[in-house]
Amino acid sequence: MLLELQDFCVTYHTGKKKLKAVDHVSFGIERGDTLGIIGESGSGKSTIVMAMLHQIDKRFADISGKAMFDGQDLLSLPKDEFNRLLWKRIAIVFQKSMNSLSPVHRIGTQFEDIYRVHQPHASKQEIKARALELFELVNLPERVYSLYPHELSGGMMQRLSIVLSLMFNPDLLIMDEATTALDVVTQGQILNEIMKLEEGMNLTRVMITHDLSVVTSSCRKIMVLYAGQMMEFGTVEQVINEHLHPYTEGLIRSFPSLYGEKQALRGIPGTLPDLTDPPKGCVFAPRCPHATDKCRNVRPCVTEHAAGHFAACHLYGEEANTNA
Amino acid sequence: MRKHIDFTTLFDMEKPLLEVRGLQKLYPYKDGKLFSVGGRKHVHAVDGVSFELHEKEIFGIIGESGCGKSTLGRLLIRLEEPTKGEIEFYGVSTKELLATNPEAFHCLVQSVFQNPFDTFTPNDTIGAIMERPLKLHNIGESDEERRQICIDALNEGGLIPAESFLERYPHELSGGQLQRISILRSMLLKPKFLVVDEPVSMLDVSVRADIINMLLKLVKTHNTSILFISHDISIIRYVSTRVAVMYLGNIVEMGETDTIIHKPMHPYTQVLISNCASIDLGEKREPIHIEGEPPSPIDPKPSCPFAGRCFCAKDICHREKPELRRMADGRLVACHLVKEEA
Amino acid sequence: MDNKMRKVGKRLASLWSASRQLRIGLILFVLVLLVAIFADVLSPFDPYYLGEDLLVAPGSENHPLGTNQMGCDILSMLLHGSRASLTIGIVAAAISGLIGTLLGAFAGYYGGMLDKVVSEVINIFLMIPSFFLILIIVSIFGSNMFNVMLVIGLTSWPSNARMMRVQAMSLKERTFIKGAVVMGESRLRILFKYIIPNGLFPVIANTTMGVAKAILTEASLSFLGLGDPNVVSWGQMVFDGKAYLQTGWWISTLPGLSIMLIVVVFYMIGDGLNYALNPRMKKL
Repeated sequence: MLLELQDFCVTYHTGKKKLKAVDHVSFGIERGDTLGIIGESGSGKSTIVMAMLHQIDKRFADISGKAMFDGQDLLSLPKDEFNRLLWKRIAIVFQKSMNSLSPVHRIGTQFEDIYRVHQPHASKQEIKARALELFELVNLPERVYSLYPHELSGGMMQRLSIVLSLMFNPDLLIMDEATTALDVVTQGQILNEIMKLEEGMNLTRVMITHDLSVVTSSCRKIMVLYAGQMMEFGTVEQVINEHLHPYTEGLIRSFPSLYGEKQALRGIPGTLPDLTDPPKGCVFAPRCPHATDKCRNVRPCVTEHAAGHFAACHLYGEEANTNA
Repeated sequence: MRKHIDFTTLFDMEKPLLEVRGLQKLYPYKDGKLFSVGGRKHVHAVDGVSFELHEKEIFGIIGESGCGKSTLGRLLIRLEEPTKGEIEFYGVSTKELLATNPEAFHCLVQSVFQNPFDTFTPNDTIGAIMERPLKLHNIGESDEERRQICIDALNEGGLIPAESFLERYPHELSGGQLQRISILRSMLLKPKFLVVDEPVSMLDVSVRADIINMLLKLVKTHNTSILFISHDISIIRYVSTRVAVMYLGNIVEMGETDTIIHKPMHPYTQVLISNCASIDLGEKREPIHIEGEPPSPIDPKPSCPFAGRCFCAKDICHREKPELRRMADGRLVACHLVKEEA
Repeated sequence: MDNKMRKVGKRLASLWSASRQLRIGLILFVLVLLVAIFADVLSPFDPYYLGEDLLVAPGSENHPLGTNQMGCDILSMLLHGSRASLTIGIVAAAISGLIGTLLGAFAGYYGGMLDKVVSEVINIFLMIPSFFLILIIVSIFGSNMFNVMLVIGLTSWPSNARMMRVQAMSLKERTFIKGAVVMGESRLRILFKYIIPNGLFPVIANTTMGVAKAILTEASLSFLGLGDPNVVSWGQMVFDGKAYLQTGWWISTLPGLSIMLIVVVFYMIGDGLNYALNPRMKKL
C-alpha cells in the first residue's frame, strides 16, 4: 500500500458544537493505482486530504487516526520532515491552483524558484529541460515557459498546475476538483493526458470530485463518501454495475446516461443531516428508501462483500456486523 | 382585474412559437490600446443564428463556455438588444411586441437562471417574492387569492407545507428549494416559452434529478416550450428532443438529440461528445484530440469558425464559411466536408 | 407584517452585537442626544444671559465650568451648543446622503450618457478644494445656520454618490435584478425596490462619518468667523475664546474637547456600521 488511512477522523469545533467532518474513514491505495473519491458538498472529501496534508489548523479541528504514506504516518511527522515530502513525493493540484502564481513574473522564472526549493543548485538549463519535457506530456507549447500567468487560458493554467506538481516525479498525485471548472473538451483532453502520463511515470493518483462521470472515465477504484463516512469502496465496475449501498444507487440514478438507455432520473429525497448532531444509526438512514429500525439505531460497519468491494450497509452481510 | 392574458387574440397561433432569423450580437472589443488600427473591433458573441421552436418542444443548446449559448438565451428574453436579426413569437417580432404590449411579452416569455442563491432579493419573504409577478400582471382578484395561487404552486412543486415557505426568507432555504421556487415563480405567469440556463449546475448531484423532473412535469401540464442551455450533454440528452451545438457564436449542428449524440457529423460535435465524461462503462470512446481552446471571436474572417482547430480542415474551410445544410436524416450541419445531403 | 418586524428586530440585534465600537458609539450618541434635548433643564443659566462675573475659572460654586469674557456660563453654552452641532451635522449629512444615493443609483443603474455626466461632476467636485468653496459661498450668501447646513450638504455628496454608483453597477449584474426585468418590473421600481435597498449599507456607514465631517466643517467655519453669530455653537465658542487663550484657556478648550468627543462618537458609529453592515456579517 502506498497510502493507507486507518480510522481517520476530523472533528471541527465551532463554538460549543462539534462537527464530525470525517468519521472513521479507512481505505488503502496500491502504488500505481487510481482512486476517485466521490461525494457531494459536505461529504468531507476535501477535508480528508487537507487534514492528511497538514493544511488544517489544529486549533480548530481534532484529527485522529493514521495516514500511512509508504510506511510513515503523515499525521505524526514533524513539520519540516513533512514539508520535505510535499511536492517531492506527494503533489496536489487544486481547482484554481494557478491563482497562487505571481502575476508579475514569467512562468519560467517562477518555475525555477519552485524547483530550487528542493534542488537549490539546479542550473537554468537543467530546469528548463525538465519543464519542457513535462510540457510535452500535457500538450503545452514551449512558448508558455516565457509567458505571464494571465496570458494563459483556463485549460493551459490547469495543465501548468499539473506540470508543476509533477516536477519532482512524485509518487502520489492528488487532484482536488482539478478539472471541475474546465470545459467539457478541455477536461476530456486533460484527463486523457494524465491517464497516458501515469503509465510512464508510475504515478498513483487520488481524484476528489463531485462528478461521478469524471471518476468513471478516469479512475480504476471509487470511494463513495457521504456525510464524512465511507459508504462504498470498490473498482469502478463493482461500484457502478454491482453497487451495494442505497446511496451509491441513488447517486447513479441521479446521473443521466450519455449513450445508454434513457432511464427516468430519480434524485435522493431529503437533505444532508446536521453533522453537529448526526443520526444515531446509519447517517444515510433518514434519506434511505430501504431503512429499517436497525438502520436507524445501529451504525453499520464497513464490510468486504466481494474481493476489494466494501460497503457500510445493514442490507448486506448481517453476520459480518457482529463486531460493530 | 384580469386573469392570464389570452394569447390567441394577440398572435397568429398558426405560426411557429418562436422563429429566430440571422440573430447577431456584437460587443465592442476594448483591446487596451489608445488608438486601434482599422476602426473599432467587435466580439461576435452570437453570429447569425437561425432556428425555429414549436409548441411543447424542449430544445437543447450545448457548447463550451464562450460559445454564445448564454448570450443567445439573454437575447431571447430580451435582457439584451440584438445587433441584427429577428426574434418572432407567433409571427410577431419581439421589438414590436415590447413597444406595443410589454406585458404580453413578459407573460409569454420567462426564464430560470443558473444561480438559485442570487435569484431573489434577500430582503423579501418567499411569499412576497412569489406574489410580485401576479400583482404586476394583475392576476388574481385579491391578495388572498394571489396567496392561494402561490400556495397551490408550492404544493405542486413538492414544497410542503407551502404555508411555512411563504413566511421564510431566501437565505433560510437550500439551493434545491430555491431553484424549485425560481421555476415555480416563472411558471406562475403560465408562459409559452421558458429560457432555462444551466438550472442545476450549481446544485448537488442528488437534488438535480428531482428538480429537472419537476420542471419537465410542469412544462408538460402547462404546454410550455423550453430552450434548455447547458454544458452538460447528458442532461441535455435527458430533457430535450432536439438540440443545437454552438461554437463561437454559430450553430454548427442541429437535429434530433439522440441521432446527434450517437452519430455526430460535424467535426466539432464529434470532438465535444467524444471528450464528454460519462458514467456508461461499456461504451468507452477514445477522445478525439484537438489543440488549444476556443479563441475569442473578434471580427472573425469568412471561414469555418472551427477551421483553426479542426482535425480534418481543408483549404476551403479557411476560405469560406459553411452554411447549415440539411442531411438525409433531417439534421442540419454546417461543414464543407460532410457529404450526405438530402 | 409581524414577521417583518421580528426580522428587523433580529437584524438590529445582530448589528448591536457585531461591533463593540458601534455599541460604545451609540451609547455615547444617545447621551449627547439627551443632553441636546434636555439642555434647558440641565443648564444652570440661560446661555445668552450676560452675568456679572466675567472670566470666572472652572470650579467656582455658581459656574462649574467657568464663564467667558462676557459673563456667560460655559456649561450652559456647551449644553446648548450641542444642539447646533448635532443639527448641522445630521442635516448636512442627510442632504449629502440623499443626493449622493439618488444620483449614484441613477447613474450606476441607467448607465450611458447620464452616468458619464454624473461621473464627471463627481470628479470635478472631488478635485476642487471644497472647504474654500464653502468659504466663498458662505461669505457671499451670509452665514446663518441654514446656509451652512445646506452648503456642507451640497458639497459633500460626491463620495456617497461614488459609492452608490459602484453598488448599483455591480447589483445590476446580479441575477435577482435580471429576474425582475424578465418579470416585467419597471426600471424605476427596480431602482427603488431592488437596487437602492440592497446597496445602501455602505452609504449609511459613510453618511454617519459624514456627520462627523460636517460638524468639523461647521466648527472650522465658526472658528474663521463665518458661523452663525446668533446661535451658540461649539465652533463659535472656540472662536470667541481665541483672544483669551492666555487669560481664560477654558473658553476655547472646553468646546474644543466637546467637538473632538462628538466627532469621535460619529466616527465610531460609522466605522462600526461599516464593519457590521459588511455582507460577510449579513448572516441573518
